[in-house]
Amino acid sequence: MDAISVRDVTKSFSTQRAVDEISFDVPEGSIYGFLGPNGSGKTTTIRMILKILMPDSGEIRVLGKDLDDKTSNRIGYLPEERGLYRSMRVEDQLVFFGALHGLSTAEARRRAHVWLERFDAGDWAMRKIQELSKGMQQKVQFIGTVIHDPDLVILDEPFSGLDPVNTRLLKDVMLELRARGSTVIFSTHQMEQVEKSCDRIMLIHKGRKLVEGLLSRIRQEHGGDVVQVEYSGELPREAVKDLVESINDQGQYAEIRLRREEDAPALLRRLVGACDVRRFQIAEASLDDIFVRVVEAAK
Amino acid sequence: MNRIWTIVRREYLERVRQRSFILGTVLVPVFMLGVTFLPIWIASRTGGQPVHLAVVDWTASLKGKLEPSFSDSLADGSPRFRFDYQTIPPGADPKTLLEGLQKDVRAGDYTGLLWIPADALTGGTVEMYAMNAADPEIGARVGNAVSRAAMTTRLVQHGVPAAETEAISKNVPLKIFKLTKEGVREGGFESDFVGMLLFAMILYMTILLYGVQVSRSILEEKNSRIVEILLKSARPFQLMLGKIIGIGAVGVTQYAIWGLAATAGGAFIRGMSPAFAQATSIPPSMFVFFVVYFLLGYFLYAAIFAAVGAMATSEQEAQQLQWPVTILIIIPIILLTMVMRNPDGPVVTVLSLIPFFSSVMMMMRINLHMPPAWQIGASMVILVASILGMAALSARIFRVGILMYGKRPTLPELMRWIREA
Repeated sequence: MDAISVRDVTKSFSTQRAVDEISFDVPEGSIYGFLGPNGSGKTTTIRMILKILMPDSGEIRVLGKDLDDKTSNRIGYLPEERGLYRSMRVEDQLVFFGALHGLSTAEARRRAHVWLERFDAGDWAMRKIQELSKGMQQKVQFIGTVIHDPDLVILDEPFSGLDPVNTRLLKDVMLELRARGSTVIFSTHQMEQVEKSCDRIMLIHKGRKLVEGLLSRIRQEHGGDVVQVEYSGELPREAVKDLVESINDQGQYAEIRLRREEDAPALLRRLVGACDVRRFQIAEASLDDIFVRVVEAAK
Repeated sequence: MNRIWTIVRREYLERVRQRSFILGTVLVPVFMLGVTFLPIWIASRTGGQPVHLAVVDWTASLKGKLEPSFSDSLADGSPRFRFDYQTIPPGADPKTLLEGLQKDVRAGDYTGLLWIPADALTGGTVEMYAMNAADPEIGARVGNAVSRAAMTTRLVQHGVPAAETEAISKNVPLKIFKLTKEGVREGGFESDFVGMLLFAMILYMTILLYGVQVSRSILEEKNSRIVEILLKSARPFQLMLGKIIGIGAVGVTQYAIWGLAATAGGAFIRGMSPAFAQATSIPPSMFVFFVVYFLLGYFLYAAIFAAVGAMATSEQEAQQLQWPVTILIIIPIILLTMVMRNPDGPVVTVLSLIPFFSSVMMMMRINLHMPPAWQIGASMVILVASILGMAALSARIFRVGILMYGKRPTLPELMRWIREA
């Protein structure tokens, strides 16, 4: 079954079309990435899934049905620019989030302590949010998102502003949720986050869906014509000009995009003659590359 | 329903625990009692400030006749009113004399100057000069004393024996009784006035205070983006209602504490001074009216303030938007004297039926002179209807505004929100 199913959804704000006829499905138990630059319609799509905003047209089903109060209790949501009540104590704050999702006060308190202990934060329970460092606040925020053990977790730009420790922590939590059968959806404009953790992705640009599906298949379809070269000496740009679409040269390392995939052996021969090649690898295209290409193709 | 309850509970508990709530609950009554009773208490204890008047008596017949009208003494037992009868040098120029003494009053040598012209006994006007002309009590009493002195002098001139003039010119005391529906109460109207002032001020202050808190609380959630988590779990209207109820419950709690304190304090005062207690006692029905009008007034303004909070994007913006609303709340306080003078007049009656002024205005009128039952009923019905209308309107603004970051809406945009929502 699909955790989320979106059909032909459109949303406009006054004159601007924020989301344009988008359709996609998120299979249960997957980690699903929404990718796109800022302002591409990711947050609006998420808000419509959560019924914070209503679509102008189209249909959205969440966990198999039209989102109602009961279903909403099975969802955890981390908004983009997240916040906490500054003058509230950590424990009260977490109990509040738990209670909002149907937990009893006692159960919410128990779980809050389990999570805080797990994050080595048991001592903060009685501290006010405003007394915590930003990294600590982020941990409290994660706990608030998952305290009710949701079947579906939606994270809007979860990695922005995270320090490396919390980035790893969040990824662990995401993997753990998936292992338990929960579905995780997150949006980001940082492609490298997606490459490492997503099963499936959707690329959005200006409110339209560009590409959607299994990450591995998308890579296959759009990759294969990029060569990574580690070298010393000087790259013979002139000599390979006729084979190459573009070169991203960093001095010791270069990513070379070929005009045609089958020219890779020819390229290698010419490079070996001109400089000292230490590594030559036909690579999968990075999502960054794919994104740029797909956007250009759409124009 | 559960979610509204969760929001109400958080709003309530967080506020009741705050130091500012505890401080406000303790300090407001202290302040109110201070403002109301301190001057009375000081006046009753010290017998007021000493009054030292220079007297220029051109009739040359009133010397020593003013003092008998004043019996009050200062804390040390000396008379509060002292009169310095000036000797008028032969051939003195009245103008120079007057100006010289005026200078002395300005310098603080005298509280004031009493200028009694030669024709004072035959219809002339007595003049009093003082730096502080605002004390009407002193003026009235001095005028009365001069009148009595003049009367006794005239009586003597008409052949009445001096010994009898005192009895003839004696003032007739007047005692005021308040006629209520149930009966008669001694003690006049001071308690009505004190009660009205107390109730009107507290009502005005708490409606404003808690209304602004609704607006601030919504703005906080909007700016910290918590609102999105809340909106995922609750519809905008539930969220707005939860906040308004939670903060209103804090107000009612505060009233309950004050009510208990007042009851305890009342019992204490009755023990100490029954007469004072009776003069200032407030019937329990008044508290019922008070809570009802607080809730009605609060809900109306809270709905407006909720929309204000949702529209604003910063604390400064919210304050600008709160201004016009605050003025609406203040208007009844500005009209206080008008209500006092004529609580049943047509203007006051009409104003007290306008929902924005209803709570405070009606509370003033109920304290001064119970308005007809139909007017009280009408004011409540109008208030309830306005609350429902305003809540519907605010909910529409709230729904759109709460997710609008960055920019405050213009008036046309606001109208569109209301139409489209």
